[in-house]
Amino acid sequence: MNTLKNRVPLLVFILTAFAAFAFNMPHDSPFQSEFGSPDGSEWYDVTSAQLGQDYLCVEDEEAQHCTYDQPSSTMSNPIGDIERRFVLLNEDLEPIEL
Amino acid sequence: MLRYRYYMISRKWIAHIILWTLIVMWTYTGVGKLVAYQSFRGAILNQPFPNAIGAYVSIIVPLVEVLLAILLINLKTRVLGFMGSIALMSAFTTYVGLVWVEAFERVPCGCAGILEYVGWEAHFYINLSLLLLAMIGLLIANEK
Repeated sequence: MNTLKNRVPLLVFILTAFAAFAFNMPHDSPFQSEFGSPDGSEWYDVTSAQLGQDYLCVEDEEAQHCTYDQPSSTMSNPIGDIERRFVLLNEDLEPIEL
Repeated sequence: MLRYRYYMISRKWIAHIILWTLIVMWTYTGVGKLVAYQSFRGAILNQPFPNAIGAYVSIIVPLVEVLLAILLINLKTRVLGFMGSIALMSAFTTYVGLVWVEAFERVPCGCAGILEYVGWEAHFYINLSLLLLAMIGLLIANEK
């Protein structure tokens, strides 16, 4: 009984590890495009860009999103939470032509 | 005598619950970050500290979290696990507190994980609670 009791933390660890695998598998669609704009007029394709290196998503008070699935804030689906602002870091990224 | 017995049983169960809570927390967050590594790395690089530091943090933090869980499992290393939990959770709580009071030039978004749902203030209080639990756990483990 004592041996079983001593094994409980290990069992907790194993079960939690399984749960972590199950609930954290990357599920982002490889086909989903992502676009962001610092000012609403120039849009950048950040599908392959790296958050934190090529661009930032910063908390903001305005009701806007950081990135969208199309280069438009009105004719597209937002990605991520609201009250986020897109900040371009990598000046080598070319704005897309609309 | 009876009151003492109830106290000892309660204390034992409190110790178990604290231990399992910390093991679950470190295992879930550590393994979760390793499984969704790219997403976690992006969230870390989005934080207001240099990317050079962020690159190391994104590797070291999840490995340390899993290590702490393993230290807590083993009875011989449990005290070390509690001490490590206090150290790491103190660092997390301090950082979250600084972001919450806008000590940095910008407030980053969570962009992944629990922060997206609870915000920096709630995250600070959650971290503080877990820090206190780790301290209580260390006290009880030391008494044993």
